Amino acid sequence: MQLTVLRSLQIKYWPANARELVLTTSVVLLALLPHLPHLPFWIPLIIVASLLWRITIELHAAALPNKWLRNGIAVIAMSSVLRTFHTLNGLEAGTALLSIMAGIKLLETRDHRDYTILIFIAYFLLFAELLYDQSMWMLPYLLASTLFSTATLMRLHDGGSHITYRDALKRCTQMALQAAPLALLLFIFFPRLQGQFWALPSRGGATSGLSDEMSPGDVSQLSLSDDIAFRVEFNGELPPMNQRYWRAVVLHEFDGRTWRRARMGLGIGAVQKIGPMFEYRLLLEPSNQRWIPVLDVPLQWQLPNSIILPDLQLLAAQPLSQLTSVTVQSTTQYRYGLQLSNTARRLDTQLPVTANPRTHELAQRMYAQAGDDVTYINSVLRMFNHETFSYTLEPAKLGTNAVDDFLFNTHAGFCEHYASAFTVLMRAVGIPARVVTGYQGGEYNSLGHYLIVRQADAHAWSEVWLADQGWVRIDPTAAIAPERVNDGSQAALSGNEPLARRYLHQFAWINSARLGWDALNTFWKKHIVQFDSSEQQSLLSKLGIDSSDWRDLGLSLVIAFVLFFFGMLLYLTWKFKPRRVDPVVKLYEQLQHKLKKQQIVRAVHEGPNDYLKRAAIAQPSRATQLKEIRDAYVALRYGLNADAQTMQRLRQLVKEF
Amino acid sequence: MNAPIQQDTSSLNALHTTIVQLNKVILGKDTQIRLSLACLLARGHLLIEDVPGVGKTTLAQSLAHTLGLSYHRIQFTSDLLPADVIGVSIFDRNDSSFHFHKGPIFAQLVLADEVNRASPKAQSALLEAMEEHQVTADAHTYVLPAPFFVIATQNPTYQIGTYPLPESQLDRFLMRIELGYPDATHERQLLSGQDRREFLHTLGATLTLQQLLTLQNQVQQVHVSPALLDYIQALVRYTRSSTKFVAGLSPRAALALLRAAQSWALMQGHIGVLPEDVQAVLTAVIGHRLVPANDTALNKPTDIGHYVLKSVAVP
Amino acid sequence: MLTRLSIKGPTATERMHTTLLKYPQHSNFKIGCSNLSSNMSLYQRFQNRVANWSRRRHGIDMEPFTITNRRIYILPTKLGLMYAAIIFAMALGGMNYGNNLALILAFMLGAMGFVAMHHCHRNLAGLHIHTLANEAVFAGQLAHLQLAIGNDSSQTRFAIQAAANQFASEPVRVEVNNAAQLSLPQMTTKRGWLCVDRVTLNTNYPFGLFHAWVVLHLEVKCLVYPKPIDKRDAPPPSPLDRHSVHERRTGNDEFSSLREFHAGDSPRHIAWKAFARSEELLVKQYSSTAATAYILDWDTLMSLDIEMRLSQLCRWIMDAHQQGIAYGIKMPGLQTPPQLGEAHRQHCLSALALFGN
Repeated sequence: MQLTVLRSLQIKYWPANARELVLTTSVVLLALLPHLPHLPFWIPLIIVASLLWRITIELHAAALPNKWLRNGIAVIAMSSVLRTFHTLNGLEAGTALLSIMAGIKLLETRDHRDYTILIFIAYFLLFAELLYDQSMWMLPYLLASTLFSTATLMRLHDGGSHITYRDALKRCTQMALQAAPLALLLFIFFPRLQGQFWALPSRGGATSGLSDEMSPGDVSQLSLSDDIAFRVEFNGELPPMNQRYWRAVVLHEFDGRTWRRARMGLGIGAVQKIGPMFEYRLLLEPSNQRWIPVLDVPLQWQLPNSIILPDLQLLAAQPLSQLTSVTVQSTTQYRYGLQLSNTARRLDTQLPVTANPRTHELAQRMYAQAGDDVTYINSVLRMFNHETFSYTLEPAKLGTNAVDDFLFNTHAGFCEHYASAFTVLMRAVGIPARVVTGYQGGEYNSLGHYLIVRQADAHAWSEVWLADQGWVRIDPTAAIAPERVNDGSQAALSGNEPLARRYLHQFAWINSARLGWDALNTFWKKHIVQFDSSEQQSLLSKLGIDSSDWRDLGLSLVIAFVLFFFGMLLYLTWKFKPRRVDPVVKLYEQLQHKLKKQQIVRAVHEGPNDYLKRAAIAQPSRATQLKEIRDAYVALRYGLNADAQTMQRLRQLVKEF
Repeated sequence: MNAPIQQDTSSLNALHTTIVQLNKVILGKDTQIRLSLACLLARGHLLIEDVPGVGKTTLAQSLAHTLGLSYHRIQFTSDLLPADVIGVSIFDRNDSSFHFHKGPIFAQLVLADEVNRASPKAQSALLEAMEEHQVTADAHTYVLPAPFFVIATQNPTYQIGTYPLPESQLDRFLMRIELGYPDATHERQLLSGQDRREFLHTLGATLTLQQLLTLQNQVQQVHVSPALLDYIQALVRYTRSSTKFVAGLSPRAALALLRAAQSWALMQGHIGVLPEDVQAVLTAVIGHRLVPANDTALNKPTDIGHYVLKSVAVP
Repeated sequence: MLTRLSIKGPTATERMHTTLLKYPQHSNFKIGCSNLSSNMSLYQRFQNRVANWSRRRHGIDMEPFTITNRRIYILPTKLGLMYAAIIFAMALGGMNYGNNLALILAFMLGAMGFVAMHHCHRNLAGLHIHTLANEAVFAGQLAHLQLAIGNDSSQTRFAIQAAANQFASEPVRVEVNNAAQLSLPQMTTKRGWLCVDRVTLNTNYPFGLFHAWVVLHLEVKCLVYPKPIDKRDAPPPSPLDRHSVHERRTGNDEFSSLREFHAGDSPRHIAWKAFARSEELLVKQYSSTAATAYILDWDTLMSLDIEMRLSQLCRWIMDAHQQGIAYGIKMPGLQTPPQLGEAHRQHCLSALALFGN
């Protein structure tokens, strides 16, 4: 018993097999680590259990479980996976299966082949993790664990020549550096697909950002979040701050409290551009929603299978489950929807009959005073501006008649309150109006020359239809808090935003560090994660290669390979070049060769004195000659002042011998 | 090129006379005698490990005699105190002050007999003195005489009632040798001849102190070629990479190996250090510095030496 | 008393077992490897073809032989193919999902494999090989052929292994500017020279993904003594009594001491001169080397066939050597006076080994 404890403490004394087991297991565990959040809890338990089992086996020198037991465990585990995920296909189920395989493999590894296969499983687990997460920190993790597992692979195959782990790591790092140029060339030249052969089975991930309905409090909730919604890189001029309206969702139906998207189809109207056009590239963080926020009115965009709705909502074919990049052209000055169909008019003037009676009454009164639509709109905006309305992140709770409550009791609200109240006031007098949610503004990153739009920039505004202008954007928030629109969400709420964030913005260096980090992240996302066929094309065209031609690309790949092959050959020849051989040693070797013909072979550990004495005994006739050779060789190789004459003499002696 | 270092042949001749003399006292142990002398010349300390009665003490005594060194013997027992080794301060009533009475360690050649029978405390007093060549008592430092050479004898560790020297302390000894039983011829001679200890007293000093110091200086000047350094490095590297050992040789051990080999080369009259010189002292120098891993068949220091020697090619 | 063979017997078979399993390094693919050359895998057959072709092309190699690039063959191992398949799958997946990080992983691993191929090849290139003297063995034991591998390049070489006829040596590491010795076990079945004219030197370094090998056409020879017959079956050899030794080697015999007379001592050995002086009967004793001696006579073994005779003689020589009794041999082509010592033993055993050649 005591011996067992001792053995477990002194790793040095472990049998070689156990050391390999420990190394391989840590490689697998390292690869498994990032999967823990998305694996069912019982899978890590199975792995830890089989690990403990294996350790017990090693410590007590017991037998490994037999085939039937292992297969039994495998079948049970596999059916549990099936019950959890209802499939064996798909990323989650696949990862779970792979993890279980690694766990069960632990119970049967005996030899280097098994260990190697465990390492291959670890490689695959790494690969699977990349399908979940491509953030920047994955790269160092990826490199470190590849290095770690490859060094273990080297240890496994050192054939008893005892490469220390540190040495193996060093050698693998060198080899990785040698491999890096080839990997880079492959990365650049490897053909990228326009679409997919087969789609990634969707993962029921949680949605983030704006949802497709709006109740009071939704947007203000969102504006506490510092998460990034998307980044925009403009090709040319940026629109001014107060023109940066990123339309995402258009809401038509209202039940007195909540706004929802239209359930019926609408007629399509033509867009007429009357102002400058902006070209930009959106880099959208995964939201698991289909809508794509675009600057006002999109005219052209590049996203396969996307659709545009008549109310100018851009929708992707699939919920955006990974980082997506879209190039769009928009205009902020336009005419749209001059003809309004009856259905559309009915939809956008619909109001619940019983809800918000005081609002209806107010609208009728104000419209009677104003006389026409435009005057009425202005008087409503003036009311928001002049009366005791305030703009706040923490509005009071509203009752069932939310708009009544807001307009007559609380007088305090966030953009969605104003947009909602404004739209209701419009509809109450028959002016077609709707609520639009999206983002407004964005922080300009001068280091990376792009705009960062966060969830905190989420915004809601209205659009009204005027007979001669079509749909016109009216932002009631601009009336109550113009700084929200002109200077961004942070400026508008400087009084009551969370303390930490306020503190953060006070120091310029923290701010620039934050922006620098974001620029780096964006560079990573834009050029590494989103290096797609079009990026590849533009990069390669700079090198004068037409990547749209597969033959060109293939040829470049072959040339890169051949160049690398010969480069590597040359480099290694240089690295392995023989050391300059001492002429004395050469002569000694010649002598050994001659003596060998007389069956006097030097053992590798035999020194010159012993060897040549032995030779002299074996060949008494040449003893004096051998003694002279010995003296000369020893003097030259091990003495201090060997002169050219001795060298000459040795050369002569060996030649004559 | 400068002329080679002037070899003081008289000291070397005297050394060879010493070897002949010693061989008369201790029969059939030429290698061990030469190793002890090489150890002395390399300014190292010597550890002799063997069963009682094979002549460990005689070897130490005859070395002291023939080299004309002042000699003290400390018999280590379990109740030995550090003060019994290094000395003690005694109150003198006449001038009301403490006077330091030097202990037996103040001699040029100290025989620490059965060092592993004493408590670790007493052992460490000796080992510290060996390392630093001085003794500190009551905030005073007393320098030990030069040359200072300790021969420690040790019974095999499996004997009862021993405190084995800690592994970390073992490498303070430059060499560790075993005497072994005499062969039949020499045993016969031993039985038939006169008492060796009596015979000892008839021997005179064959080497003067000056000659000894000269030889010690010469050891450091024995030429070491790059080819030999390659060999020593290969040996050391082998012990570090081999799984037969718990840990490889330290840089200090490598240096010890080099010094011992230089000393051996001087005694052999070689022009520089040869691989054979390294091989001759290898077992004595590394046998006690390497701990074999428990799954190997190497359990004797001599086996370790042979194993390492056979495993490394002479470049 | 245990004989040399019976000590070596079990260890030899044991070692044979382990070395067999060790061939080649990725041993565990070779499940059906335990029976010898009759059942070769496709891979081995392929290697054999390559070796034959290489021999025709290059002839016999001069020693010391330096491995040149063009002599090195390299192929992926099964693990290497599996590795390639995994990388292919990763690249395909990465390409399909447009997942560039996955592509980076695949390309990095792929490039590492490619670099590993170069390193595997380089691990053999430039090594110097020469044969060393081999210790003779008895038939049925494993012979250990000794090869020295020198490395004068500036990089350490790892996991270098020699193989021949389904046997492989332990892999060794060859340090920079140093040499290592490889011990290649070989099965011996009959006496005479064991000639191995083809040894492959191989390596799976660094990752076991590639197997590089060189076919060396060296003449490696090892003398195989006849297999000594089992001790139980061995009739005692015909001893020469002291008298006849004394007669044959007059004056050469070493007188060692006197002892008291016991009843039964031959009167020839009584020291009469001493008796005359002291009136005490003393007997002359002779040193043990000459006390008894055997003449191992071929003709006394008429009933056996040639090989059995040789085996019988071999057994006698070993026993006599071990007991320290002088022996001489009388057989066609060799007649030696009784002697002792390693050189004599080797001389006699070599004569048995090469009898009839």
